[in-house]
Amino acid sequence: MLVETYLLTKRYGLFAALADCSLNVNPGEVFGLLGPNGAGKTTLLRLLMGYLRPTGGRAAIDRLDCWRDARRVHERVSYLPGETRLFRNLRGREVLDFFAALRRNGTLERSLRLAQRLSLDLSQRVALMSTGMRQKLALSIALAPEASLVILDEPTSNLDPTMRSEVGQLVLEAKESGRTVLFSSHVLSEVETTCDRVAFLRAGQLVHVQAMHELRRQHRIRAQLTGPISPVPPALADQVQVYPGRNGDVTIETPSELSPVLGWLATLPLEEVRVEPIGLQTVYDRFHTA
Amino acid sequence: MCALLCKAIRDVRWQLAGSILIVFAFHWIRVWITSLFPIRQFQRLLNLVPDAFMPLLPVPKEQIATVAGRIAIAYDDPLPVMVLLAWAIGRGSDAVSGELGRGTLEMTLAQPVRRISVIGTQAAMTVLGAACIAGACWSGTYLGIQTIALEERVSSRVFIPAAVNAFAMTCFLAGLTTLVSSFDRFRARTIGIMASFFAAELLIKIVGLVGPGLRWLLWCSFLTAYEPQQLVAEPRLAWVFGMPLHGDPWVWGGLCYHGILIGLGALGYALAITHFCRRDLPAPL
Repeated sequence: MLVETYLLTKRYGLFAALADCSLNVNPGEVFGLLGPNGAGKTTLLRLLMGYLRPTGGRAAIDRLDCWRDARRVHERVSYLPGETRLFRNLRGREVLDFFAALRRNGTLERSLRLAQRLSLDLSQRVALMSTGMRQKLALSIALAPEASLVILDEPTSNLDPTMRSEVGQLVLEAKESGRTVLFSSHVLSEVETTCDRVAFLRAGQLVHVQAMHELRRQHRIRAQLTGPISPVPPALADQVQVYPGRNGDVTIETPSELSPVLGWLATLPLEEVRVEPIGLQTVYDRFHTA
Repeated sequence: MCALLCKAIRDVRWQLAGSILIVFAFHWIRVWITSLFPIRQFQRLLNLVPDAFMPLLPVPKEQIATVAGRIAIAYDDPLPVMVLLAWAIGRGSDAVSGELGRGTLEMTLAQPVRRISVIGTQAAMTVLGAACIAGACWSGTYLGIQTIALEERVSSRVFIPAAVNAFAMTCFLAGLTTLVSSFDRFRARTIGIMASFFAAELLIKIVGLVGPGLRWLLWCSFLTAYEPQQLVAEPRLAWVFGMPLHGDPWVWGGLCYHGILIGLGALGYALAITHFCRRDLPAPL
């Protein structure tokens, strides 16, 4: 495991920002964190970065304790904070120079390439940059090091749709180069397209971890019934869930492959049939509907 | 570490240059002003001071009414003291609460640098800057003495203990401000606390000097250890911890003053570093 937390807890008095969170992230994986504001995503990331001292449990990256060995952990990690604030008195290029100089195996060249790719004007002072430009500058810093783990806290906030897809591409490239990516986001679509696994947090609790390859196999069939529905064949009993509606409609969910079910579906008296994949939104709604 | 130091220098360069220029010019001008008024005129002016205010004078008025005594007043003058205060509080408050408030600490500490390196470079720069400003005070005095004709011959060396005392006071304030800053997350609050502290300490010293039976209050003010005029007026005290003088069984010397201020400043820095290395870093607001 590259990232390992065990009963990780952060309390402020009686309030638990994160409680008993145990999760593992494998090397080379893109791992997403989802949850509404205040769910504990940023607290979890800040605990991993060693900014916060756990009040219970432990967190380790590459078997190094995130609090006690913070500096050695940071050699293996590159991080983009949720709200990036950079030195306002410096120009973009100077900011990149500064952060590259803090890493032993300088990252300036990669930073410059990334900045160019993100169409960033490095001659401007940070104080005069728009929020989106600052985010691009921060991304050029965070994605440059050859760190084995990249932690991104809402990396696409403040970016336009074109740049969002560019960031998604950069995340996938990081994965292709063997790096592990851990990122939080509110944008379900980008998590869906980039992540291998997704953790759902609610009120400081880890409530579910979803493997995306399993989710991609799941489908939902919505249709109108034109006659009585026949019972599910015993061979498909554990592959199909049928939810009859009140107005003659029916919803059939397949938690596994769709193809074995298609034959049975063809025998049913259905019309206006819609087959759709079960997306992250559905899973998200299961845990976060009011 | 080198990158942090370069950035720290870059951050402070204008304040440092301005502070050096102001105190250098002020101390040079002070020597020039001293040359304009003969000692006899100054003595007459001192004789007009009501007796009730005499305890506020750091040294007996006979010692002030000398060329060296009058030049030494510059080290107690509000302008250079304010410059030193602005440096100490400005830099000390920036070390942790300033960076936290601006949110710039996040990205820096995400790199493989120790927290102690971040605060250590700030502290080194602040102490170095304090030395430069105190050095500029003395350099101004030195240049004045070398270039301006004075009534009496004065050695510029007698002002070195006053400059060292100014440096020591700045170190103390910077250390204490850094300690407050290490607990705080809002720079404005840190500055407010320290400005109030300085004002309170000044008042305590004044009340301790003037109030009958309140001399014990002097033990409660760090400014008791800031006596540049005394160190100039009594060169014998400049480089000793203390000695019997003028009938007093024991009078504190320069080393004692400097030691107390620098020691407390170093303690402030040590506690600040310890706390900063252990504290949670809140997300920027």
